[in-house]
Amino acid sequence: MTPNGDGIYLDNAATSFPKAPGVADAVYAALTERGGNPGRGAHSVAIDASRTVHSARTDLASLLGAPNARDLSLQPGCTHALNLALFGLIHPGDRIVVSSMEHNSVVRPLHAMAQRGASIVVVDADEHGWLDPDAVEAVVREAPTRALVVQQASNVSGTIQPIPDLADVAHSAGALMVVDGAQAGGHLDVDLATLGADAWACSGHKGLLGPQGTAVLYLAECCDASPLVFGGTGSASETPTMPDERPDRYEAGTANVPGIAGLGAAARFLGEHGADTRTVEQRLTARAHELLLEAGFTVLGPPPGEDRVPLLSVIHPAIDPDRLAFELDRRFGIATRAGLHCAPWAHRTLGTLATGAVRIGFGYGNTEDDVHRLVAAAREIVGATA
Amino acid sequence: MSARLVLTFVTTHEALDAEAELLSCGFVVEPIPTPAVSGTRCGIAMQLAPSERDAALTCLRDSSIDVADVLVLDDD
Repeated sequence: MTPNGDGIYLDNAATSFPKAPGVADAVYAALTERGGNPGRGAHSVAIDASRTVHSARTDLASLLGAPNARDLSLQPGCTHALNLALFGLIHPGDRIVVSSMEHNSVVRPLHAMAQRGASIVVVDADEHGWLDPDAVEAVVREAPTRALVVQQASNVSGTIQPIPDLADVAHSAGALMVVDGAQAGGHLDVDLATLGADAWACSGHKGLLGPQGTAVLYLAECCDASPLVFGGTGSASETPTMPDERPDRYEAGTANVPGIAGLGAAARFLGEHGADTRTVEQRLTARAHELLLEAGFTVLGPPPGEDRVPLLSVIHPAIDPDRLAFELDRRFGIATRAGLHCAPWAHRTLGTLATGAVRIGFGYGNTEDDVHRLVAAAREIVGATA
Repeated sequence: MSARLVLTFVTTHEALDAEAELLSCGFVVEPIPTPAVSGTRCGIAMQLAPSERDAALTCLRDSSIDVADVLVLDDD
């Protein structure tokens, strides 16, 4: 269902709906039953808020396989988290190797870095969106490289990159592995202890099923990124510099306690039911993929049977993507997203930069009936325009 | 008031890790504002009975939790 209770919500790749059970209650409780400022003071209300943040962090660390919860900082968004990782780890003059599938949350910071003297080298993915680790290795080894930056799962094609193999490539060349996991957390069984990422950023409100305005950034213990934001942390207050200790080093300013409380509730839900939600998402995505191909749509990204996160971007020769998304919404109450999805590099790689595509993002709340209604509506729309 | 043992920590996260670990080790522990005598620390400290000093530190060391300061304060 959509937020107004009518229609079908298929824009979970933008933000999930519904959120995990317990998220709204946790947000509400943080606003109405607590209200203290975490880490600021030791009165009971402040300690309560501190415990809310602490339990969210430890539950997220458990869900994501982070070896130490302290290495998981809570951020106001994945874009913010990626900016922290990139600006904190990369310096003017550094050489960065990046995939051609990146979102603007990586492309734009790297562009800004290039203007400050960093060298950005792009490795093209293939027509399905996959990176070839051998091709990446050849580029990484051409010159001393500070970091390899790769999106774990594409927000356009759903393509999943072989991050452990790419991390081996990076590390064997002395480079850091920076991963944009925005579309991975919750949709994939992420284990940060073995993934190989030195930095991994993830939205809290997509596959992790938490509120908007939340995200996590994992920085491996070995990697000291400079802070992006400076200010009060409730610790080391007499010093003018940011503390070295995590997570305080990366969490200046008052935390978004309601959002973090909700994200913690989502982490606990996924810890218990994540395998089931992933099964539902994968089943619906595979079924829709099959039926949309039968209906004459081109589906970007990996062919049927290959792993992907639960999204499908489609085009059809009979209709422009923006018109298709509009008709799906206004005539059938089906929410999808047309356009470039803030990822022009990915669309260029996949051959759809000029037109964009319609992205269909599945969530655990969708049903088989949603898939059939989507495909029937899409068939009717393209039939009417053909 | 009798003497009290106060453990301080560098971050709130560490302090709450310590509280959970001390509770699981069976100690009676109370979070308190960090005493001013402690230097560069977070605002929450843990208070215990002084007689539990060694056992409490062992409990935290076994869990790799770093204590910033170990203070025995007498408010009399």
